[in-house]
Amino acid sequence: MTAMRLKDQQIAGFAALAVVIHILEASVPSPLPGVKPGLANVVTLVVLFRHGWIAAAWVAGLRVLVGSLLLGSFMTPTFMLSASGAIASVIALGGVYRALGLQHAWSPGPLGYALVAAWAHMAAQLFVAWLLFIPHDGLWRLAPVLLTASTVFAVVSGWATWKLLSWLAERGSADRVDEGAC
Amino acid sequence: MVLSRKRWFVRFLKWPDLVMAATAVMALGVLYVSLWQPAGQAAELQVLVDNEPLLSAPLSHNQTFSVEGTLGTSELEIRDGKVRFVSSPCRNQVCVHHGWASHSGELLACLPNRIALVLEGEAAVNDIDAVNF
Repeated sequence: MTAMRLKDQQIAGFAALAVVIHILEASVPSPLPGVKPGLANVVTLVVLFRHGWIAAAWVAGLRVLVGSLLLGSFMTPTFMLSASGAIASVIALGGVYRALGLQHAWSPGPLGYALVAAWAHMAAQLFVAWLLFIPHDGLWRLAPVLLTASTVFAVVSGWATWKLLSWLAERGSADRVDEGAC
Repeated sequence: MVLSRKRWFVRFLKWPDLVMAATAVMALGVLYVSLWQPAGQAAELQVLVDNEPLLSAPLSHNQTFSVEGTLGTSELEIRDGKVRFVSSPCRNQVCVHHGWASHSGELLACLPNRIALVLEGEAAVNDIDAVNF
């Protein structure tokens, strides 16, 4: 993989960007509890595609931690759900990244990765919610609806990631390192 | 330069994406079929007045009857496995406008008159905290 190892400052920069989106999103009321677009994950995906899984994991982890500190939800149920979702989606992304990579014929593009992240996120949240907060099996009835929302928003954020990646590639931004690689 | 541009240009839809999207849609279908069942038909009606169980009646037997609440008399009707408030002495008539209820776990109430109708069935789970229909 030609992914460049980021400096700590750059990871912090990406995480800060994700935190801003995270907080803006938290301030938008949602028609259904537990459903939000998850656009902050676009930053994670862009970092995954351009800088590899480790950088993406850092950005996602920092976003959840700093976001919860700024929103005042650190260690509350909201944070538990958000953190478990982020951890699960980072692990799932890592699995697919290791197994399928980015540049092979069989590698998924932004849409595939967004779907993997969104499903892992929602599944983990449902499981943690069921385990810790609502140990009632009726909760699973919500699963199809919530996962439908996940899927729809994954298409949106996959598309946004693709747009961003194309834009960044065309601009040939300074931190690209693929020249001379391979 | 052109080469590296090409390498970094990611296509939105490659075949693995389509496979994943198709898998997700199929999984959703399976989930809807297996988890998203409509609430079952209730078998029995329980009437609570001022939070005290007053009477219960089977929904299979069509009948109209009156229940004394704290405000006055409410008229109830059971027909074809459904139940409704026909009339109630309350001011805003929310209970009457709610119409028929037939699902297990469903709740009809005339709060001013302190009358609540709880629908139960064999398959009803009684520890649901809140149900919205």
